[in-house]
Amino acid sequence: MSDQENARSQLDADSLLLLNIGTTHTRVSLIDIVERRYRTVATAEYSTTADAPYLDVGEGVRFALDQLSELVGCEFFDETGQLIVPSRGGGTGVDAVVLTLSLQADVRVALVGLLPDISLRSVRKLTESAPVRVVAEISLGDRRSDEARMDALCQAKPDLILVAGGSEGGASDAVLRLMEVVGLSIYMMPQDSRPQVLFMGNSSVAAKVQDLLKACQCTVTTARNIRPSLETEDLDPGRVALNEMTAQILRARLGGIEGLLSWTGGVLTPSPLGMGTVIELLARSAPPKKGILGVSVGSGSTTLAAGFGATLELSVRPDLNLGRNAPHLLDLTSWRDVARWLPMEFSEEALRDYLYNKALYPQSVPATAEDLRIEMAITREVIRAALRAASPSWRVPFSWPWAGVLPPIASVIGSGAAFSSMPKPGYAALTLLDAIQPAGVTNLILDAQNMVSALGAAGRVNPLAVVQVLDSPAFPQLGTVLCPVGKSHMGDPVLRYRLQYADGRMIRGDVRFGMIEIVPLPLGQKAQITIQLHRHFDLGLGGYGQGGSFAVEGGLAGLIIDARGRPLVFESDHAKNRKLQEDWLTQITV
Amino acid sequence: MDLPHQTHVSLLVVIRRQRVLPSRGSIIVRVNQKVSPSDVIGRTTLAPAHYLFDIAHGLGLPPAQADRYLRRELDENVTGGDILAGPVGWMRRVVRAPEEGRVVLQGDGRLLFEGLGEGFELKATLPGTVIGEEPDVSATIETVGALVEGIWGNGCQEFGVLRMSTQSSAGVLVVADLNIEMRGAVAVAGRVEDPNIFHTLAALPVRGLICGSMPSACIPAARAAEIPVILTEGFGRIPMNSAIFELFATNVGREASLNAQQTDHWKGLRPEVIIPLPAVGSADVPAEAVQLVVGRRVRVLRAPYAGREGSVVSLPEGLMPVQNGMRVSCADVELGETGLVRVPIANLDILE
Repeated sequence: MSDQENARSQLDADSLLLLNIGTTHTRVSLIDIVERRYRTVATAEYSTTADAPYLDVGEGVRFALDQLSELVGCEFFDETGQLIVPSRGGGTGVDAVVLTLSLQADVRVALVGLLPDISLRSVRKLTESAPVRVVAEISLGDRRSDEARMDALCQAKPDLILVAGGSEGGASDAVLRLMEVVGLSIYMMPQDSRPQVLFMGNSSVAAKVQDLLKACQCTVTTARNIRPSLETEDLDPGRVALNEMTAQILRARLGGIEGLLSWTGGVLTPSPLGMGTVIELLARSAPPKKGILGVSVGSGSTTLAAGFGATLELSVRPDLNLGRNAPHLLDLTSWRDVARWLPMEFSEEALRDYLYNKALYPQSVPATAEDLRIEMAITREVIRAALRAASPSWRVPFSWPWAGVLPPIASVIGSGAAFSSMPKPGYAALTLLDAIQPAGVTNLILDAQNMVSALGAAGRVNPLAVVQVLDSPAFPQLGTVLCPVGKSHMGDPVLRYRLQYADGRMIRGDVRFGMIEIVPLPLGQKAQITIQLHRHFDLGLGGYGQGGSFAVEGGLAGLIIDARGRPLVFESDHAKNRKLQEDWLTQITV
Repeated sequence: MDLPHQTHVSLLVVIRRQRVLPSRGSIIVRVNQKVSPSDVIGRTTLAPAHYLFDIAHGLGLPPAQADRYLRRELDENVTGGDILAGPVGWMRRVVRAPEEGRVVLQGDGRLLFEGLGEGFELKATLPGTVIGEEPDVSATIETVGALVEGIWGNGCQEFGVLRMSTQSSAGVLVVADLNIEMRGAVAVAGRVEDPNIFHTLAALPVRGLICGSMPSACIPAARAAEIPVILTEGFGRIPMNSAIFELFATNVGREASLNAQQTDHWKGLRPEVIIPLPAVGSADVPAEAVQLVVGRRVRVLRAPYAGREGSVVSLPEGLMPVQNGMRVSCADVELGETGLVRVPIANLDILE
C-alpha cells in the first residue's frame, strides 16, 4: 500500500495506536471503542533507543509494543514482523497509527531579518514555538559587513535558516540583497551539511528567493509573511512550517524512524503541535473570558500551550527541561527561588550539584522524599521561567481585573512524568498550583498517561476519538481549585463556604489566609458550592468581596481551596518558610 | 520499563576509536600504521574568513568588463598579496588576495575569496594500529587494554603515567598533597573539593586528573585547566567507585590515555581512560547494550545509595513503591555492608 493510500485509509479509523518518542521514554497507547466511546485501553513505555549504542528509535517502540501487547492481549505484528494495519478483528492489529516526536536533538537555527526590531524580533518569537536553538542572527541593522555576516552564518553551522523581512508590497531589493549573503554562506558550507531555508518575508520576492538559492542546492520552503505590515504579526503559518521542518531534520537524524513512518503514511507530528491542537480544541469551548493552558515538562523541553478563544500561543523551551539542560535553570532563576519551595535547608552548591547530576543522568528518578521535593521545586521554577518569558506576549482577547497574575484560566492540563509519576495526586496539584498560580476558579487536569501530544496529533485521523478520550479516565481531574486573589495576614479569614453534595449532604467551613483547604469531593462527583468572600479577596465572581453559588466537580485531590493569595506570599524567615512548605503539602495531600 | 545506564569498566578489551576531523581535511596515516598518542594523524583548517570583493568597483570598470580582468581560476590556491584581478589603466589598478586562500566564486564584477583559516591537527591520543580510514574525514585506531568510561570531561586530551594521589576512593585531593614527583603523571583521586587544585596541577605540570567527583562550582576552573579532567561519578561529594579505583590502583606506573571529551549521546562518545596493555590471551570488544539480569554488577546513581556498587539479586515484576511513594520499575541489589536494597532501574548503571 502506498503512503497516500495508507494515509487515506487511516481517516476515521476505529482503533488508534499512538506512538510518542520522547527524550528518555517512548510511549505507546492503544485507543479503541469501549462501550460506544473511545477510550485509552492501555499505555506502555520503554526507554527511548535513539542514542548510542542502539541508534534505532524503532527498537524502543517495538519493546513498548510488546509490553502493550501483553497488557491488552492484542497481536500487533504478523508472522513476518510487520505491523498489522488495518486491524483484522479479534484483537489483531490496529486501524491507524499516529507518531509524535518530543525528543530533544539540538536543532540549530540561524535567524535572518531586515530590521532587528521588526522582522528579526518576529522570527525570534517564532523560534519559541519549536524545539530549536538559535545559533546566529543577522540583519541589515547589525552594522556588520556582508563578509562578517557570512562568517557568522558559516561558523554557526545551522540546520535551518529562518528568513523574514519586507512587509507585503514593501521592501524587496533589501531582502534580495540579504538573501544573496545567505546564499553565498550556504554555498560556502559543505554540501552534506547545507541548511534548509524557511522564507517568511515579502511574498512578492519569494519566487526570486527560490531561484537565488536553487543554485546552492538548498531546499527553500515558503510560508506566509510573518510580518505582512509593520503593525501586524502572523506567526501561525510559520509556526506550523517551522515545526514540520524541525521534524524533518530530526527524521533525517533518527535511525529506525522510516520504518515507523511507513505505519503512519509518512506523517510525523512534532509534539508541540499535537499539544497545541488539544488546547486549541478545548479553548474554543471554554467559558467566555477564560483560557486553557497546557503545560508539559519533560527531559527534552518544556512546552506551554495557551488557548484563548481561537488564538493559540505556543512556547517550546528546549533549554528549560528536567534533563540535559537542567543546570540552565539557574541562569534564569536564582537558587533561592528554587530553594524557597523546599521544606529542608538546601544550599546553592547542593542545588547546583543536583542539577548537574540530573543533566548527566536525565532518565534517573527521585527515590527519596528529599529528592522528590527537590524535583518538584525545580519543576515549579522551570514552569515559572517559561511562563515569565512567554505570557507577556500572549494575545488575550479579553481584559481581566488582576495585575501581576495570569489571565483567568478555565482548565490547566499538566503533562509529563513530573506530574504523572507523583506518589499522590496532591503532589501534582501543588506543583501546578505553585508554578502557575491561577486566579479565580480553575480545573486542574492530569495527563495521567502522558499522551496529550500524541492525542492531539490523532485529531488528523479521528477527531471524535480526541474529544472522547479527553473526557475519559486518561485525563482525570485533579480537582476544581478556588484561588481568591488578594493579600492579607497569615490566619486572617478569606472565605466561608457551604458545599451541598448531590445526595443532599452538606458541609461548611472557613478558610484562612495562607492555607490550602481540601474539601472531600471525589473524582466524577458534582456539588454546589456557595462562597462568602472577605472584602479583600476576589474570586472572579463580580469583584472584591463578591461571593456566589456555582457548580463544582471533584477530582483525585478533591475540591481545592487555595487561600494563599495571589501572588503567593512566602514567609521571610527561612525556618518558618520551610515549615510552611511542609504544611502546604500536608494540607493538599490530606 | 527502563534501560539502565551502562559504563565500561573493563580490565582487558579490544578498543577501537574513530578519530574524526572537525571539517574535511587530510588524513595522513595509512591502514596498519602504528601510532603513538601524540602522533598527528590528520589536518584541516577551521573558521576560514570570507572576503567579498567588488572587482568592478576596485578596477573602476563596469561589471561585464571587469570579468575580463579576473586572473584566477575557481578553487585556485593563492598566497596573500597575489593579484586576483587587474591590472587596469595607467595606474595599473589591481585587486589582491588579503591572505592565503582560494577563489570560491567570481563573475558579474564580483569575487568571493576564502582565507585559509586556522590550522587544526588531529592527534591519535592513544597508542595502537590504524585499522580503518575514511579519506579526508577520519581514521580508526585499535588497541588492547583496560577501559574506564567517565561521566564528565573538560574537553582536553593527554597521556601519562598513572599515579594514585589519594589513599582511598573517598580521599580528597588537596593542594598540600601535590609535589614535584607528580610532574608528568596522571593523578587519580577519590574526589576534589577545591577549585584552586586545577591551577596547581596544571602548573606542576601533571598530565591529567581522574577523580570520582567534584562540586559543580569547580567546572569553570576545570575547564580553564589545560590538562584533561575526567569525573567517574558526577558532581558533589561522591567517592570514586571502588571497582574503578581498584582498576587504576592495579595499573599504577602504566601509561594511560585520557580523552576528556564531552559526552555525545548521539555518537556514543564519553570521556574515557584507556590503559594500553600487552594482549595476553584473547580480548573482546566491550559488550554494548547489555541486559540487566540477576548477578549483573551495578552502581547506584542517586540517593540514598549514590555511588555504591553491588550486584542485582532479583528483578521484581511490575512497578514497585520506593521510599518516597513513587511506583517505578525496580531491581533488588545487594550492596555489601548495606545489605539488600530496592533501587529504581532508572537509577542503576551497569558496570561492564
